[in-house]
Amino acid sequence: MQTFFNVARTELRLIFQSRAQLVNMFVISPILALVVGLGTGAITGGFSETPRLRVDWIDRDQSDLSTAFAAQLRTANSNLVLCPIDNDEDDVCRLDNRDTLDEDLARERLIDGDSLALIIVPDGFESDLLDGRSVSVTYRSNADLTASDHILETVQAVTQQISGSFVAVAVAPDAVESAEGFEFPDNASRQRYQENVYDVATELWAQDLVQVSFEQTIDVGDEDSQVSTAQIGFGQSIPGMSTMYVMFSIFPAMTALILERENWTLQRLVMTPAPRWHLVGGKIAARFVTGMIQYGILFGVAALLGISFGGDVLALVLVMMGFVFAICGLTLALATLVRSEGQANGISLLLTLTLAPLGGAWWPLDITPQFMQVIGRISPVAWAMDAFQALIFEQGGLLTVLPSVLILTAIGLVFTIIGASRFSYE
Amino acid sequence: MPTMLEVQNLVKEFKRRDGDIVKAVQGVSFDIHEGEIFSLLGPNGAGKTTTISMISGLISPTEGDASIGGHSITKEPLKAKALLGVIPQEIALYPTLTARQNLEFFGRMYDITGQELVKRVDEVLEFIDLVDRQNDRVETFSGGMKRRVNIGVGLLHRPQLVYMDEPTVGVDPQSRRRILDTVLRLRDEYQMAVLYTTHLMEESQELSDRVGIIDHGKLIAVGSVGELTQQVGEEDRLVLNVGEQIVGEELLGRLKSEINGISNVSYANLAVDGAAAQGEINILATRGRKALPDVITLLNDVWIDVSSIEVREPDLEAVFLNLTGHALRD
Repeated sequence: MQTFFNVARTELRLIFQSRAQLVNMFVISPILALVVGLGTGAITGGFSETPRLRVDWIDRDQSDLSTAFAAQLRTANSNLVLCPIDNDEDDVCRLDNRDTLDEDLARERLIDGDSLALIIVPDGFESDLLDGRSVSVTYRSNADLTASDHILETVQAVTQQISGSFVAVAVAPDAVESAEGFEFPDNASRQRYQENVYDVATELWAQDLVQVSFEQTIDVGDEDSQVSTAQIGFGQSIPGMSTMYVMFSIFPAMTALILERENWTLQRLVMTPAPRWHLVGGKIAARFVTGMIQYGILFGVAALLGISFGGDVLALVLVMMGFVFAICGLTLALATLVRSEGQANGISLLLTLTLAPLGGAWWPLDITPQFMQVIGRISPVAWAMDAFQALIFEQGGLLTVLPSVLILTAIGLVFTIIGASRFSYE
Repeated sequence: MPTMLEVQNLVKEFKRRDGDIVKAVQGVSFDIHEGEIFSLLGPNGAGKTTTISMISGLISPTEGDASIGGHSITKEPLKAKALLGVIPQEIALYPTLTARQNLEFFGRMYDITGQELVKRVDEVLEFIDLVDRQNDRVETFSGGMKRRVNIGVGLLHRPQLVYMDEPTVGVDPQSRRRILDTVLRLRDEYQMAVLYTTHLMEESQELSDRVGIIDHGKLIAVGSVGELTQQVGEEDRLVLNVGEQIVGEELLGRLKSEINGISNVSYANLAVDGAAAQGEINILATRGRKALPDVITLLNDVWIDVSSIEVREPDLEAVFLNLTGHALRD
């Protein structure tokens, strides 16, 4: 095996002597992955700030209950900014230093798009509710009636809570008095009881006794929006770009083999007392190591940025090895077909720039039409990207990615056998 | 002396794209002894490179076998290769590696490692006189220096048999002289057997203990230079330069039939790559000088101007002409 390792080591030396190779591996590929990651993150909500939903708020009642209503709206949807009461130093409400808002200006702001909705709390809001009379809160919006309106849904949810609380206030005393042997001694006691019922009801509403567990397809995290959005972008770009650059690192082996044949170094090696498989095997092994180094560089950079690639490192490495093996096999098989340096260079570039987008290295395959997702499966890149995404976004493990790893290994084996049986040393 | 290489009835057939079988080598047999320089002499395309490609294990023979130091190239190829030093016609080196790195790499391919490798590399660098440039990349070397490294790689593992395939092709006269001296040193100082292929009669004549003449895939004569030249007896070779004039078969036939003492006549155009013709008429004749006036008269009759005439003693060129009916450089 000494000759095998001698060939592999020298091939690595030759590969890393090339400045272009070093720049591609250590500089261009990380830069490209970072740029694409930032872009992908921004498209999917990435590094943009948490959306702020400006809603104009005109409180004509100025009561405790109307203030509580505003607070409940904020609790129900933390993205809501009630203008002008929630305005800040950065003038998030776009009020140009105005402290108050009248209905005409609010309508104008709606039309201009400075706000998304207008809520008007009428005068007598609190007293009417306490007296058991219905009140009407005005809600104006330019939203598409056929589409879901998150702000309206928030307002409706909060008004339901308030209505529910007051229903409880209205029915609770009667329910208590209907019980045998109990009667409020006076109206004050009855009113205090009603107030307690209201407080308890409101508190229970706020606790959301029945909750819907809402899960986004992509885990955006909840502690640091910057990290979580980076996770989205780099979770796609790091595996994608590194997979593409792995191909850029391995396919040139075709050119190298042709040049060795032209320069007669390959023939000279055949005339040494080394088994033939040591020669091409050593050269392909060097490309395998190069591919793994390429993966290591980009995933290492991402790890430094705090990007998580799931908890199963072994599965991650196996996916990388499977893909690199598949591309090494494909390279060996293609090396038996190409006849010139020009052909080899052309095929390397064409294959890389076809297999990468086809297999989802540039963008997630999920966003492509169904037929493209089917066609994409002819690319080993698709199997690798499926596995990477399962590990990164779905917290998958070894068992999840095993089918992809096996398919990649099978692709590599088939092409290696074809290549080894057809390879000509002359 | 022990036999280092024994070639037995080697045959190589290639199948062309149209399905036809081409016999590149047809039953070649010869042997080389320890401390002997054996030249395989023949024109381009005669089958020299195919023969040595089979001997060195690059391609498999269709029939026949060869053994190096008693090891068959078909049955024990790795043992046979371990005894063979390869010096191909091409500069088979890695241009971006230094001379030392190239030598070390190929040395390891012969299982030489550690201090032994360092020692051998130092020895070879001294032998090829490149100690001071050992850490420079080969791509920065002159053609002659690259040739020397190319030779050094083939000698590093101290082979018992060295094959050199036209090692002087494309080198300047000074480097050529140096290479020929190196070949002689391998025999005289290291007792190595050398298989030397060339299409240059002069090199073969100067270096060889024995010569094998190969043409159209067949070994047509084997022997020392003296033995081979005896085959053409006392015949002189007349070499007439006729410049751009083309000489046809009819005139060659008249020369042979109308002038007494001429045994063989051939015409060769020495021009290369579409350049203007450089015609040369080769005539084998007993007492060539006496036949010369008749030759000139006949050529004048058909308006062929002769720009130069040379009368040569019997040599390998004459042997080749005598055996094949055409010149070595044809």
